[in-house]
Amino acid sequence: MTTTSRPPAVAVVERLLQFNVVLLVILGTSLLAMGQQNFIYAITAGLAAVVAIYITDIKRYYTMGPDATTFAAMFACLVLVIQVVRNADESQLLNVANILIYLEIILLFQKKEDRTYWSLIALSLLQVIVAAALNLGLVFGVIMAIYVISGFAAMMLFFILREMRPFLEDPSNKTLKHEMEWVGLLPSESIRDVVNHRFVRRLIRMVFVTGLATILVFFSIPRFNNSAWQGANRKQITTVGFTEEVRLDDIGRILENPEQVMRVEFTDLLNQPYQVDGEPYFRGTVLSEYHGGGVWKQRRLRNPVSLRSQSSFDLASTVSQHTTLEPGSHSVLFSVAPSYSVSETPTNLAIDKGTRQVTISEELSKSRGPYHYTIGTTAFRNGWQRDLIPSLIGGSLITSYYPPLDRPSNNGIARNSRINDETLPTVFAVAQETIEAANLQDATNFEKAKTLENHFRRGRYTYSLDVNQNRDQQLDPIEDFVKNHRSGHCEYFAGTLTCMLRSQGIPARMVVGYKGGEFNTVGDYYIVRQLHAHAWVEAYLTIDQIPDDELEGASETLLRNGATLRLDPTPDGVQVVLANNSLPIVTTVREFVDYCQVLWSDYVLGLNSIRQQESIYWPIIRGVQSVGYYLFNVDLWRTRLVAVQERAAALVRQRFFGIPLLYPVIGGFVLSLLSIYRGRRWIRRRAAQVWQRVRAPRDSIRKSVPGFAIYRQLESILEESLGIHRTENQTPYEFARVAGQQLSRHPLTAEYADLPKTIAIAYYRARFGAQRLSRHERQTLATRVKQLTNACQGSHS
Amino acid sequence: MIGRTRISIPKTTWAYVAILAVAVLGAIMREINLLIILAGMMCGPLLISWQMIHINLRKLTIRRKIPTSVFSGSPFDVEFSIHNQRRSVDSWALVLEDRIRNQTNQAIKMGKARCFVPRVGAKQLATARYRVRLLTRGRYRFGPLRISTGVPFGLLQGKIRTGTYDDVLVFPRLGTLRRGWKRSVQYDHQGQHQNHQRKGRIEGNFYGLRDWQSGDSHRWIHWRSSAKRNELLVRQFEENRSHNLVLLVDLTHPAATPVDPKHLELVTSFVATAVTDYCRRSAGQITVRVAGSPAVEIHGPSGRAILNDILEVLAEVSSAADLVPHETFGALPHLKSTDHLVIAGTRSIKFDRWTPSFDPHGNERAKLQSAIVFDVSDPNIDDVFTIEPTPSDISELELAE
Repeated sequence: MTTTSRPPAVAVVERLLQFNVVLLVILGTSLLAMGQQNFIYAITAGLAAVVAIYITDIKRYYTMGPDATTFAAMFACLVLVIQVVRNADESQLLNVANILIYLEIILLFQKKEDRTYWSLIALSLLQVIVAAALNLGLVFGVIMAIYVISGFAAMMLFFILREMRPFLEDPSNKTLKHEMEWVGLLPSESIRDVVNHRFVRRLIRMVFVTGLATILVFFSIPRFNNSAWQGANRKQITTVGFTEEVRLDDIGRILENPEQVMRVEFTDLLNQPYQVDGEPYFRGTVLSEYHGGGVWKQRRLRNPVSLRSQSSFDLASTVSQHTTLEPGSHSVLFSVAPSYSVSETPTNLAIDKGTRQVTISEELSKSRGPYHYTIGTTAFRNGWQRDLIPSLIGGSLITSYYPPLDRPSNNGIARNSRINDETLPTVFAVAQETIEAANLQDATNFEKAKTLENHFRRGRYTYSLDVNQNRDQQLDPIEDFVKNHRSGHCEYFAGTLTCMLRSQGIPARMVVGYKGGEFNTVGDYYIVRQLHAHAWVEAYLTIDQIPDDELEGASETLLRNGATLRLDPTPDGVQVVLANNSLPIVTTVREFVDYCQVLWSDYVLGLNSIRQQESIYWPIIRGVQSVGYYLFNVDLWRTRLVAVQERAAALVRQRFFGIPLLYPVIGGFVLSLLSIYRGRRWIRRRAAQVWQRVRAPRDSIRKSVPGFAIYRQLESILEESLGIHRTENQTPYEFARVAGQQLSRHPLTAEYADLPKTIAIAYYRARFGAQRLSRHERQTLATRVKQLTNACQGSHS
Repeated sequence: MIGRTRISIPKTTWAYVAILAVAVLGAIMREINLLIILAGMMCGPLLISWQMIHINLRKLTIRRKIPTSVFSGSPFDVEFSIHNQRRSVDSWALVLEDRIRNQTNQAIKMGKARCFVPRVGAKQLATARYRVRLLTRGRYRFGPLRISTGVPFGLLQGKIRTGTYDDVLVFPRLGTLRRGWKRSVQYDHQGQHQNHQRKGRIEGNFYGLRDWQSGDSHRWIHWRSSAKRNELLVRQFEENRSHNLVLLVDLTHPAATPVDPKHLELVTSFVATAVTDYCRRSAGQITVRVAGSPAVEIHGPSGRAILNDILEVLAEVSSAADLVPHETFGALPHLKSTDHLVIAGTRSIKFDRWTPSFDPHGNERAKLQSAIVFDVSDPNIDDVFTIEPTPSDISELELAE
């Protein structure tokens, strides 16, 4: 049977299938093209699909015959062979994948039969499988989701058409050539019973269920390797976040990761929330060694002591920092420096005297959950965090923690910190120019440091997370930053300032940690996320280099070893720079996309055995353990039951005058529940009946309507005053007619002869017609009945 | 009774399974997370299909509505009413497949007929039907019924079998009596040429009802029965001037030369057509004696009841070997001068072989001499009776040409 004679409903469904299959082809080829980074095939296949659906499926101008198909297939194979020979050294997978596109194009121009549809679906599936090994971006996930929806729809439509087609054929066209022959008698429009809104609902439900099942399977299948496959064309995703070392060799846009790191709450001596003005700096790792190429690393801790041994002498200004830190693969704890122990400080915390870096004895990832710790600090004065941090070391030890600048030696061997005027000539020159421009050659280190810090804030440098790809690979990233671009993120600024300070002979080091956070005004705490990660600089000053105004309020005893001055060269308003250029909604969307990209990278592509244990297995085990503990801990239940019993008994004693009714009440409650359960069907039936009554008012309700009341009143008046009563076989109207006749016989009541009829009609309207009487009508009838009552009394007397 | 759901994998699904295997192998061997997702996504449809097939085929009640008898070659509808007893889940895309088996003639291959049910809503009733045409007479058994579905993707195929059976009796195919028959057997001769129309006068004893025919008096209409049957029925009376018909059907054959099946079908069709025609046109007595397997004699007044009895016999009768026709036929009934004795067979009949055993006086011989004999193997039978060729005949003819 040809398509031309096919009923419209079927033709519509078939067209829907054709579009779906074409969409599958386009999506499959696009995924493949994204993996290959070559969109020529995708564009070709897309164009071919559009042309084919128009000239082959809709207009039927051209259908590829068997000969043309064979020729085209052979040509495709020839192209494949040529490609394989030419690109013998490249991935053969791509060459094989390309032939799928050629075959798809050939099939698109063929007459669409069941086999054609199925082949197209299968080929596009193969394409997606190949693409999965090549492309790993978030866009792949999005397109794959669309592909799944379209694929499900295509397969369902294909199934319906394939199944229904034999039954939709016209019986008159059927030739009976066998002993027993049959024809389907399915009305053509019956296809609408299947392809309708229910189809869409079913499709959505199935996609949803499949998605859920896939997620479940994906996360539960155990991984055995510590590194997941990152694809043939892996593109590194860099995100804002804390790291124990800094590398400035990342190129491309750095994504903001909103993953929560910690929750911080500040309290004062009285355990009341302490209000902090400005954004607090949470110190993490101190990076003092520059290895060149933009790599900063920390020096191995030499002098860690227990934090419990470091108590503050200034109790009045000690603020407690209560932190809940999410698990991570490091042992660094974040704190506002200077850090001291308070009564709640855990015993397993250590502090390095040289760096003031607080650490925990074991890696946080092994803690299997958020880690809570409390540390004291004296950094705040009137809510503001001071820039000066007292140093715990001094003298010769300083050089151990602040590596000195390499001086050029005759043979050049001494250069080991990579900070010198040969590797960073521009940095050195700019620092020198800045100092000279400010006439600070003979000034204190404090003034020089502040001047160099301000150098970055005068508008010549811009903050950006988008690291330019046109970096000069021959130059040191810091030299390149100062010389060519002057645009970068906080690590560029902090690294450069450190180098500049060292070039001026000022001991300096980089510090990474977090700055600020989202302050929750209800709970008085900060939520610190990865996107709040920051880098700044600490410069060492001896006590004589500290200005007097900075010393105000500080104990000279504490500063006897000097202090470190916190310098933040990053231009203000990190977020503002981004927000000013776009609408808030755009920023929100961008952040959301960034977050999705991070999740995709961490939990989809990078789900290895370690991450699986951290993110899935341990939380589940902990949850099960908690549930088990609460469910099967007999002592806990006993305690709770006793508590409940005591409370209930006290309540009963109060309410029921001391009668111990607790057990009967509980028993009655349980029995009631059981009765409700047993009689739920009866209750449901009764409820339905009650509901029907509510919806359809019956006599009892209608009695309240005015028509009924007035009629009853009339009956009682006539019976009491005139002795006219309604017999059993009389309808109200018949009674009214008889009563009217009797009323007409007496001169006093004659004028009310029509009143019984009028009231009876009103009663009928209210009783059977479900029409309410108007207020005016009610009042009129009531008045007339009252008048009739008087008249009756008069006639009686 | 509904059997257990059996699930099979169609051929086309193996391609899908192969692609899935590629994805799973890639995922396992290289730990490519995206391939694990893809494999999961591809497993989803299979699992959904498995689950939905089980749900779709559960709690279904199916009844077949089928006529008890039909004429061969005449299409008729087989209707199914499907009741979905589930509370909330619809059943859709169900294929009902009926097995049709000829109980009389085992040589005929078993056939299948199918119909499609797009959707049966929860707690709802749906109907589906197919039209079937059976070209050979006999008793047919419809069943067992197989219900299958491949929802929602057609990746798996689920089947259940119900043990409901129904029988249909397929009467011989009706043909057309030609001029030769009308020339020989003139049981309505008077009606045709003398314009004998009964005006309502009762001419005999009432004995039954028959369908109204053009020319019947309106007074003869039995209104109560007509109202019950929703078609006009007239009373029939013993008609003194009617022509009785005696039909002897010879289906015997020597063991060495079996009857050509085509001739057997033709003779049964001829007899069925003649009897039907007689019952419609005449009100006389009809006697049919069949010498075959089984050997049967049916006698009675013309009408619907006897027609049905005769057709039922003709539907299932088959040829019998080594039977002597005249012994099977027995003594011939008393024939009036206006009565007709018709002998129909698949071969020529020699009357001289009939006499000795039961007709010592030769009375029957005279009757036999006046009998009208129709041999369906005679090429001239077309002058008496023709039957529309079946499509299988046409295709054979086309092939021969």
